[in-house]
Amino acid sequence: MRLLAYVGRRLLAAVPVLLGVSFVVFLTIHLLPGDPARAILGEKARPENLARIRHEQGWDRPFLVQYSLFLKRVVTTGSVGRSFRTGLDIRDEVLRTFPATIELSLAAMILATGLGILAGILAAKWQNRWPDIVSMGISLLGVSIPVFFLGMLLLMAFTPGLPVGGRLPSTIDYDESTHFVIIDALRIGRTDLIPIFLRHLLLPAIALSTVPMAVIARITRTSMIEVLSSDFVRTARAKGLSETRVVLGHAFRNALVPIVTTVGLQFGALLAGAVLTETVFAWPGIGRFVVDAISGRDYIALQGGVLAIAAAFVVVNLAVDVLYAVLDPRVRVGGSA
Amino acid sequence: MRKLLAILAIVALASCGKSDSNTPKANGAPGEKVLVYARGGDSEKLDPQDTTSGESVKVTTQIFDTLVDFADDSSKVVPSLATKWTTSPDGKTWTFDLRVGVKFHDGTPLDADAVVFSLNRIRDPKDPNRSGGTFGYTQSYDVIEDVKAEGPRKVVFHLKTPFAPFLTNLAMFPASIVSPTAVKKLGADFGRSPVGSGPFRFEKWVPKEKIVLSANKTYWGGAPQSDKIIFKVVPDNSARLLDLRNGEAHIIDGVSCPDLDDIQKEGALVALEAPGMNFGYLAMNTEKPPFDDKRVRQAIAMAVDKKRIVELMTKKHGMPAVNPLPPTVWGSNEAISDWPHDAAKAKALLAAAGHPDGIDVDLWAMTTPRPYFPEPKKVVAILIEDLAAAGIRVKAIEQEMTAHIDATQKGQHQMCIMGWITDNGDPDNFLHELLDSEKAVAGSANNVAFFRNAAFDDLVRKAQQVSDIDERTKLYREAQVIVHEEVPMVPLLYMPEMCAMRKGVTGYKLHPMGLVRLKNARVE
Repeated sequence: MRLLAYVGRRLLAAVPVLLGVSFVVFLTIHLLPGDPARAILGEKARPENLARIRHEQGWDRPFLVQYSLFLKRVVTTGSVGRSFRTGLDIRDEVLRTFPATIELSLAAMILATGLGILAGILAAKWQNRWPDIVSMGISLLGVSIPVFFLGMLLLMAFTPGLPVGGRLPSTIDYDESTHFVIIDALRIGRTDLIPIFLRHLLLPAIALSTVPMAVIARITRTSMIEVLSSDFVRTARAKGLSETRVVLGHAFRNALVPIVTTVGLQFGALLAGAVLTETVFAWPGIGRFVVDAISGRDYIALQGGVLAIAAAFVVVNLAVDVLYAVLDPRVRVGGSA
Repeated sequence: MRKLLAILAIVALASCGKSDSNTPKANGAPGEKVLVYARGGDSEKLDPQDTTSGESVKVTTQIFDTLVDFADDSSKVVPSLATKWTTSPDGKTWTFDLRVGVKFHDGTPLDADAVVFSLNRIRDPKDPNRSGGTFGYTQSYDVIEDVKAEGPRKVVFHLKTPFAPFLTNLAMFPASIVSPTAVKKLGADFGRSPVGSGPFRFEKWVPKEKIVLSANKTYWGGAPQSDKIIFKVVPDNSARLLDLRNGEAHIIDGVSCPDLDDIQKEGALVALEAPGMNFGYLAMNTEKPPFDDKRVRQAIAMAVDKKRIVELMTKKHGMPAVNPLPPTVWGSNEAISDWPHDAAKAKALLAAAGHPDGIDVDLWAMTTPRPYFPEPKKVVAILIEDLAAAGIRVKAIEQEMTAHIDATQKGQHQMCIMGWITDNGDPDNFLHELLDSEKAVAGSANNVAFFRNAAFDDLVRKAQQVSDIDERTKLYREAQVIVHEEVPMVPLLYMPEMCAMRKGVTGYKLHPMGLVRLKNARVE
C-alpha cells in the first residue's frame, strides 16, 4: 500500500517536471536559428507566402500565447497536435517510433549489463592485476569512443554480411500493429521474422551498448571493491565459503544498489539519446524522429518527441527507485527514513 | 578483453546464421519484380500541390501525370496527358487536347474537368479543395488568368500576359493532375494516400521507413517494368551505400563524390553521373561599395580559382562554371570564354579602381551542404585564400541555410555564395529569376547581386513574351554577354547528378533536372 502511494506521489511530481520540460523546449525552439515557414515553403518561397504560413500556424502571436494554446491542446486532445510537415498526428507517430527505440535500447542494455557487470566483477576480484587493467582500459575506450564513429567502424567491419538499413528488409510486409517486431511476429505467427530482425538489431545494439557497458563496469568495480573489503565478507570467507559464493552470493548482492541505479539511468539515457545510432543504422525510433523534427523545424513534432522522452525518463527513474526497495529492505520508500 | 571477445563471439554467431535471410526477395510474391530505391529522407506529403520537398516529389513523379512532360534527357517539353496544344497569336490563350481514355487509379476518368480542378487547386489559396496546405509553388502559376474546360477533351488557359515559360511550368510537379474524387473524399489526408494516373499506384506508407508503390498495369504509356517499387529511407550516406552492397537496395541516391569513385571500382555496382541543371556562384552586392565599381567585380572574377574549388570539393566531378546558365540548359552561351585566373591582373585592376592597398570585404555563406556546394566551408576557405592573393581581405560570416537566405535576400552582405537548382529547366528560370532588377527587391531578392541593368532586363523580359525558341535563344545569349562583362556574380561550378545502382538494374538513367523516373527500371 505504502509502495503504491509512493508511486502515485512520484507520478504526480512528474507533472511539474514535464511542464517545465515542455516550457524549456518551447522556448529553445523559438530561439533556434532558422525559420519554420521557410523550412516548409522551401528556399524559393515568397515573403507573402511566408507571412501567410506564419499566420496560419499562429507563429506571429506572442510567445506566451502560443505556449498556452499549446498546453490547452495537449490537455484537451491528449496530443500535441498534427505535424505541419507530414499532417500526421504526433501521438500516433510517437507510439509508432518509441517501440523501435525500446527494442534497440533493451537489446543494448542486455548486452551492456551482462558484459559490464562481468567485467566489473573480474576487475574488482583481481584489483590492480591484469584483468582489472584490461577491463578498465576497454571500458575507458568504451566511454570515450564517439558512438557514431564506432557505428561507422562496425559498418565497415561487418559488411557485407550483417544488414544495416532498418529493422527488417523493406521487401518484407507484415501487420505491424504493436510496432514491436518480435511481439507482432509472434502475434501473427511469423516467427521466421525474428532471426532476420535479430540480425538487423545486432550492429546498432553493439554500437549503442558501449557507453553504458563501460559505465556499468566501472560502477560494478567500485561497488564490489568496497563490499569485498567489508567485515561480513571477511566473516563469510572465515566461515570457509567458496570464493565464488562469497563474491557472487554475498558481495555482489550487496553491491547491487548503485549498479541498479546506474543501469536505470543509462537505460533512461539510451531511450533519449539513441539519436546517432538510430540515424547511422536507419533505425526508425524516437531519436531519429526528433532529429528529423529539428532539421525540418517541425515544432509540434519536436515538442511531442521530447515530451515523450522526458516522460519515459521519469518512468524509468521511478522503476529504479522502486527496485531499490525490493533489493535492499533497508531502503524504505515513502517513509521518513 | 572478455568484453571484446564476447562481442566478437556474438557477432560471429549471428553472422553464421542463415545468410540467405537478408536477400531482397525475402518476402515478395513468387516471380514478382520488386525494385528498392534507398534515399536519405522520407517524403512529407504525397500531394504534389501541397509540398516543396524533393523527397516527396521523387515519389509523386511515379504516381501522377502532368499535361506535358520533360523529355527523357533534357528540359524540352513533350506531350503527356495532352497530346497536342496550340497558342493564340497574342500568346495569351493556350488550348490543350487531352489523351482519350485515361483513368485515375480509382477509376475516375481523367477529363478536362479534372485538369481544371487540379490547376485551380494549386492557383487559388481560397479553393475549397486546397486542404489548408502550404503551396510553395503557387507563384509559378500566377500568370494564369483562368482555366476552363471546353467539352471533356479540351482545356483552355487564358494568361494575364504572354509568358513563354508557362508551358514548362505545366510540366513541373505542382501541375500534376489529381483525382478530384479522391481529393474531395480524403481532404487533407489526400497527401497520405494519393490517387493519380501515373505508372505506379500508391499502396502503403510506413513513415520514416518505406513507401510501397505497385504497377499500374493499364498505364496509358505502357505497363511499368517492375511490379513494385519500394522507396526506403536510410539517412546515413555510408549505411545507404552498404545497404546497396548488401543487396537490400537496388538504387541509391545522395552519393558523395568520394564514394562515387569507390563505387566505380566495384564489380557488383554501377556509378551513374550526368550533367545537372544547377550551379553555385559568388554574388557581389552591386549596390554597395566597393562592388558598385565594375572593375572591382572583374578583379574578383580573375582572383577566383574555380578549378581548385572543383578539384578540392568535388574530386573533379563538378565543372568550373562560366555562365549563370548550365550548358545542359538550352540558350547557354558557349561562345563566352571565362575570365582568366590571374591574381596579378586582378591586383592591377583593383589599383586602377583606386584600391592600391587592396580592399576589406565580407563574404556571407551557408554552412548547410547543398547539391551545388557539398562542402560550403571548403568553398569559403578557398575563396578567402584566392582573394587574399589579390589583396582582397575577406571576413567570412557563416550561417545555417535559412538564416543565410534571409540575410542575403535583405541585402546585408557585400559578397555571398549562393546557388540555384532549376525548377523547370527554362533559361528564364535562371536569368530572369537571379539577375532581373524585378528580383532585386530587398527582403525577397533572388537577385542577391542587386544587379540592375536596363539592357539586360529588356532582353530577358522580351524573351518571356516570344514563344519561338530560336528567337529566345538569341536573346538569352545576348543577355549572358552583358552578365559576363558586368560581373554581378562569379559562376563557380556546375554539379552533376549522381547515383549508384546494382549491376543488373536496367532501364534507369539520371535526368539532368534530377527527376527520378522508375517506369522502365527493373532488376534482372
